[in-house]
Amino acid sequence: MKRTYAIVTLTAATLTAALAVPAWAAGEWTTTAGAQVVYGSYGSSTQRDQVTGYGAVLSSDYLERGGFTLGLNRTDIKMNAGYEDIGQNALFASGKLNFTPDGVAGRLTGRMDVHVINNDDATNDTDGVKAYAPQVAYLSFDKRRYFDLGYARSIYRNDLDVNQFTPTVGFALNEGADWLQVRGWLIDPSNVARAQGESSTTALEAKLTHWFGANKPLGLDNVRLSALVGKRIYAVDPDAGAVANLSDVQRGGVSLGGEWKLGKSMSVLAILSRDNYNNATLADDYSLTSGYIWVAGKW
Amino acid sequence: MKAWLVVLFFVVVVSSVWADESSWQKSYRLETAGKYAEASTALESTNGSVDADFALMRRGWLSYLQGRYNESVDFYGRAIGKNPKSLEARNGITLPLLAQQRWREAAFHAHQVITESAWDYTAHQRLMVAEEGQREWKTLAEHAARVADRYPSDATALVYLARAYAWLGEINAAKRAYGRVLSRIPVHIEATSYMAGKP
Repeated sequence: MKRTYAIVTLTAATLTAALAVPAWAAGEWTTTAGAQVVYGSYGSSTQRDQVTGYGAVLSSDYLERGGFTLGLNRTDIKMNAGYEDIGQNALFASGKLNFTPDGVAGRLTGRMDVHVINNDDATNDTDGVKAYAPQVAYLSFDKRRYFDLGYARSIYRNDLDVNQFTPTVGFALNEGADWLQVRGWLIDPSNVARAQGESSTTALEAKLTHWFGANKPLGLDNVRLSALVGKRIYAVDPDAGAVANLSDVQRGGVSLGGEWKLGKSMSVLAILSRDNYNNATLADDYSLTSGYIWVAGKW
Repeated sequence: MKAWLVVLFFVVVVSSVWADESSWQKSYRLETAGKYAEASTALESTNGSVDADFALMRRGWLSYLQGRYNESVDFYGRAIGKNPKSLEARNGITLPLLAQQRWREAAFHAHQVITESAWDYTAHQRLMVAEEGQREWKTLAEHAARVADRYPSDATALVYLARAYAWLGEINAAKRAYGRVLSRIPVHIEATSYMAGKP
């Protein structure tokens, strides 16, 4: 089986069909458009050499009632000699509706993500992937507590479906200057033979974001540190809007990022990551060191 | 026996008065008694009247007082639908929206009032709350300064100006603004605390 992982990415789309809104008017919609690039180099990999990707995302919210996101992404994985390269296109669509019931001290959000992925994988194992990922989330009014429960069902060709649950909690620290998010990854592939012997994987991911106040070192608005422990395969990431549809098992990783705000409407996010992977079939442990840049404008 | 007759007399008189009171009188009386739900129900019969939009606005206010914010938004929205020119209804709907932290939606309605009436104080005050909620400190600082120029005796705009400067890290400007707050309200707790170095 061809191993691959996909850094795929983002972006997406969503619809929001049911926004019961009155007539459209300027000022009611807030729109963000951005572009992203990623480059990664594999270390000690039998098959892989490097990965590149680029994409664009358009996201728009109608007041606080809901919104949608659409994204397209291209990913290319250059393989070592003797293996075929893979080129992949991914479409991401996401829609959400917000609710503020009187009996709840916060905002509830219902969200639905759809991923459609096509690539030139000759085996078809990772081509033609579709993933559907609903999520319900709660954010307290004081923005100090967050909870969401995400589910994803991914449908692959050649007898593989994947169910995923991602319970997540988040809370503010240090008077709101820091935000800690912890997410559990519970993934159950339907076919062990298609999942490198894994009938289920479990991982825990923690992300810490620190916002600088008026004194911004290097002009940074915030920095982000992330770490993942455990194992996960075929993950559908609701934050990145990405599907790891190529089949190697991730075994931990760390990332460090920083975001700059340029004026009232522009932002730049840069992230450096190092992730570890294992291909059980080939007994191949390797790493991926990657850099990611996201530039966005909001109006 | 005489006492009972007197009591009976008053009961009859009061009942008779209440029986004759209008829906509006009944609503105001019940609101004064803190019976907001009943005060709102009393206005149900005004649906087709010439003051239907006012009744809806009032019901929006009574729902807001009960913490029934979604219902309040609905009533105010219906009032706007009946009378799109109503500045009061648009200012009114900002109350439950701000209570639900729907900052952008509240700001949207405040902006619509300001478009019609450039220096409507209520709309500017609600807009400053929305800007603070969205942590738009530069926007809030500029806006609060403009409001303070138009309403020189008002301490509220200066408080928002001071908060915005404080969040922007402009300590001296924040102290100047809080100092102006204390000129207007010498016992203002927030300004006193900040000037004492305990923000």
